[in-house]
Amino acid sequence: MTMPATDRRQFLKSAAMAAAAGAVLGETETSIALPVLGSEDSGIKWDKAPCRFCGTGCHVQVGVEDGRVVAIAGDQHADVNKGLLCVKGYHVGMILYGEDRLTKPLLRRGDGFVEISWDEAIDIAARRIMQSPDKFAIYGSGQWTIPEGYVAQKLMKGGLSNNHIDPNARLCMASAVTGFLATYGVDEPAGCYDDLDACDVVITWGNNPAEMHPVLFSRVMDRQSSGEKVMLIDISTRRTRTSEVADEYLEMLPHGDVAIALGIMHLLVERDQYDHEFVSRFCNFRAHESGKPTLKGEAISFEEYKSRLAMYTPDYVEQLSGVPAEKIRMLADLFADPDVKITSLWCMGMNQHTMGTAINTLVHGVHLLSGKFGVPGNSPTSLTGQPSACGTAREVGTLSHLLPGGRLVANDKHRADAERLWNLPEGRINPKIGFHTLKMFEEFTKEGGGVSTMWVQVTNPGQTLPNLNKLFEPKSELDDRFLIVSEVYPTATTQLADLVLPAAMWVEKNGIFGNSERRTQQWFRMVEPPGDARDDCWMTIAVAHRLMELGHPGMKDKDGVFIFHMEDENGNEVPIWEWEHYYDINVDRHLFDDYRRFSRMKHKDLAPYDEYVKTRGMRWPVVQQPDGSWRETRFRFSAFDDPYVKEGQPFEFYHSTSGDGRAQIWVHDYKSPPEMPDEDYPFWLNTGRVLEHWHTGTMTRRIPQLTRAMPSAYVELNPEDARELNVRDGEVVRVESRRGSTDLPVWTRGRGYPPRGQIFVPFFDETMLVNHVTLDEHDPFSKQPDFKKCAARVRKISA
Amino acid sequence: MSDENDISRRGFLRGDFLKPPEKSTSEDAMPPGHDPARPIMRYARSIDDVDRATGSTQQQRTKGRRHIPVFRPPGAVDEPTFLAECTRCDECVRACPHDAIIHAPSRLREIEGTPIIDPDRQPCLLCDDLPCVSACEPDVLSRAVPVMMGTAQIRSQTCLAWNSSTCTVCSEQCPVEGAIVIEEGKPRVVEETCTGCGVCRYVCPAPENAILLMPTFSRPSKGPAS
Amino acid sequence: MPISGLRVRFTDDGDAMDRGIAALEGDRRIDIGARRDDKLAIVLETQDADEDKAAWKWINALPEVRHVDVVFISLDQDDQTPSAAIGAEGVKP
Repeated sequence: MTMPATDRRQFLKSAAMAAAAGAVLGETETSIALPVLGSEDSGIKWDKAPCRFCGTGCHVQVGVEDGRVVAIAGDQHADVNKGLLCVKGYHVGMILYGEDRLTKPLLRRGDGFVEISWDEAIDIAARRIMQSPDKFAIYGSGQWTIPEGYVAQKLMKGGLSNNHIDPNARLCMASAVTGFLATYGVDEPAGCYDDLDACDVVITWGNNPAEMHPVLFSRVMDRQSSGEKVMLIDISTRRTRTSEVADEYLEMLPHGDVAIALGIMHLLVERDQYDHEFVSRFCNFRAHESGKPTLKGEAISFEEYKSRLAMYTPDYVEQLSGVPAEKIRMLADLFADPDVKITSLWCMGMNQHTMGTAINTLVHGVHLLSGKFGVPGNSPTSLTGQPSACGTAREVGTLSHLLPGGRLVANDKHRADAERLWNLPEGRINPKIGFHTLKMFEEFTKEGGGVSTMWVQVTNPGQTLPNLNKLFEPKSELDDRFLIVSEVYPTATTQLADLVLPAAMWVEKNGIFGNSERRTQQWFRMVEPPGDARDDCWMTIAVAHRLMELGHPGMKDKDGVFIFHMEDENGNEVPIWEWEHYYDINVDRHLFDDYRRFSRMKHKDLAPYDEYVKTRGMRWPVVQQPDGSWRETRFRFSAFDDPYVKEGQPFEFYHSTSGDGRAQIWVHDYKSPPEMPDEDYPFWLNTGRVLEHWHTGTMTRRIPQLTRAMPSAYVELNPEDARELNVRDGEVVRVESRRGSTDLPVWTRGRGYPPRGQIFVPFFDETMLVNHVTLDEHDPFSKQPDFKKCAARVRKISA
Repeated sequence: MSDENDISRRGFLRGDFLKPPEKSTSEDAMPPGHDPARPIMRYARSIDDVDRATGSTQQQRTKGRRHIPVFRPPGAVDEPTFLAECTRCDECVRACPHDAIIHAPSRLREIEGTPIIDPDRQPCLLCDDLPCVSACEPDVLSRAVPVMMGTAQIRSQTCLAWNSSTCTVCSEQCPVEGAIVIEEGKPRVVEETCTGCGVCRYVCPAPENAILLMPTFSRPSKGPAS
Repeated sequence: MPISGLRVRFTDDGDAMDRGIAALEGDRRIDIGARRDDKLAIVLETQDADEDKAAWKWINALPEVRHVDVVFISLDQDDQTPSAAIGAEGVKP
């Protein structure tokens, strides 16, 4: 293991302290002179980029010297992080330099791979697609840059008339999307991170920002340590690092969040403490009454709403959620107090949930009912886990039912609109919704399934899909399936790949991300990718061009022009499908300025590319001012900040599903999780992330400092359960469900402290795949699976 | 220790073996407008760079140095006895299941070849049964001497937990229960309990390692036979 | 970047040591180490020799400080080699 040059100074300090301490303690005397590196900092060129990891969207300053990233600093000028970074952020530069970077296109030959040329690789991919274009699918990512998602989207929906494109955000943010749509008629949070600076109370709903969004969390902690009163209430199924600093830790049973939200609503209504003014002017009530449930639901009266809530008394909620009735009253009291500003935070706990859409709408509903909305500090805020889950998956609409800018595949007008903007012949876009993620992999891994060729970009489904034994592993048994994987390192997914395309990553290419708070962030390429690694965007465009050469009619617009045709300043076509010419122009700029035409219908207005070059991101809608400047919007639907709110009223939900400018307050009945512990499988299994590793660890596990800090996965077990099972810390046990098993070391005094009967396993470790154990049950609307609860057992391995 | 042995700073700066740096850090050392209080993570450029940084190939200077504090394996007796009685037999080096015990390199001159621990390379994991001590025939690693290789100290300036971020790695991975406690999310070393094994320094993921690790300056002799 | 290990001796004026330590703690360039009797170990890290000199003068001028001894100093570009606290260095076998 090599020591970073920076540790040199630390060593010197240790030596200096040792010497000084020796002199003080009178035990020795030492006088030494030591050299330090003199010129280590000269000649570094700095530039901005959003961090590659989570959805917070911190900006870093990237220091480059001699074509290599040599330093990372928190960006002092970024609103999001104001110079601060979390432990992963400081190491982000090293993700480029793992020893096993993929640098050549690889084609499967038997059990191994052979290196092939890019020309061959692009040709093979294109010919596979040509064989049956309707059985081709793209599985993408909330880590796609906006232009990458946009070209994949256009290739599929606008070129191949094929809607089988879905991102990993389906596993991550889909329930947040359906929650926003059902409530406001338009996706993404109304508030922003500024709420954290203004609120009096933060409620974390099944959310652990101390580990998962540390920089955001520090905004709250810093206010506390500077003497401000900010109350932190953590509602969670297990004790976490967030719980440890919370003023109130409310331990709930899995699915208890649904009951808690209903319980708060019940008390607000029963005690007549809801915000009459806000509700009567800006809200309607909604439920699923009969027939096929939809995201619009049916209108119900306030009386019906009240009667449906009647049963959710504090005592009944205590029974369902395990949270004491008095604490439900405490929460209701806070929401009832007009002088208290409350911000709710949530992420995977509420999204990876078989009632994901329901609980998302219920938490929005609690805020609407109490009027804790639309004023800085009062906000229901859903956080994202990926750097561009919002920007690429949700805004570009790279899901199987969406078109860019919030348009729907199934909507005739929206398709026509997209065809017009893309200059496509009428009817080019297929009106049938494509396969969502779980369906896509089911079709890919079953005999005679509807997907024969799949292209995976910027994600690792071989590790992240639930129930891998059903949804991924069977691929190896099916000879007629062809898996193309664009990757930077070997992963669980490339193991089953037939064609591996080496990709450029992060600051090896131009890019644009969109973070949790609607902030669009641009960066430039700063270093060259290693070997023959190339941009994902280029790969998609090159395959599209090859498809055109092979005669696919969809690769031309209605005037017979290549769908990714680009010109230089002089109007000459640039052959961007040839790598040598890809950077002759700024392809990202062309694609983004093309894409931004889609952004206005849903009032998600984006500024021109060049405006983002000047800033550390801007939050949409970004609206041009009379003086020509561009102004971002921090608080949507609030007249004081959102230019789209009709004049003369304080709020307007201008995409209301009821068409009357109002948001919807929903009521759903509590339902038990689909699989619950029983005699055979007595534990609740919860899965998730840890601070040091990001998602499947493909990047962070290649950074020595992070791997030392968190070397492997583990199963977190309550000490009493460990005693009962007769297992010790560090002992490897088998965690198994009806679907599969994995072996993990026990940790009883770790990050989290689960209650008895509950276990937690992080999913970052590809040598211990917990997704062999998880369940593929999903939310009926969002199709997002629940990784947070299923029934499992823990078995001692040694006799 | 008497004052006449102290070396004045002025004298030090005038010394011919020391020259002030030719140039101060360049403007490029940090991004424009960067708050100097915030850390910057700097990466090794190459393996060569690391070698250069650790000065591993350079000659040492002996003038003015009287004693070198090093990390000895657990149970090491006082340094003069240790140097006098250690036979350089290698048994402790072989006994260590984690390869934490290595030979002092030649640039450490008179102690060359004696067993030391380099926590940045591989810290002592404090095995329950201390096989290195069992393996030591001359008994310079002795069960009569408490395990006290050194002490760790947390640098609050660079520790992430002390600087608005979350991190609890040192306390989680510390093999000695109660040696690093977390108070309001921030770690603190309990000096009486800390053995100086160096695990915390090894695992610290802060951009500038937040653990100062100091070897024990004077270890006890074996004392009365037990 | 100069790094020095200093031994600070405080005056015997009541709580001079506590006040002195409080003053030193407020400076991010300074690490506080072991203390015994009227002596305290500190490490000072600065950007360049001038700043180092100024910082040293400042410490010396603190009313609570009687005397500052230098026990360790590291400057730049010297061919001297590390010879203390071996354990903290990346020793190459």
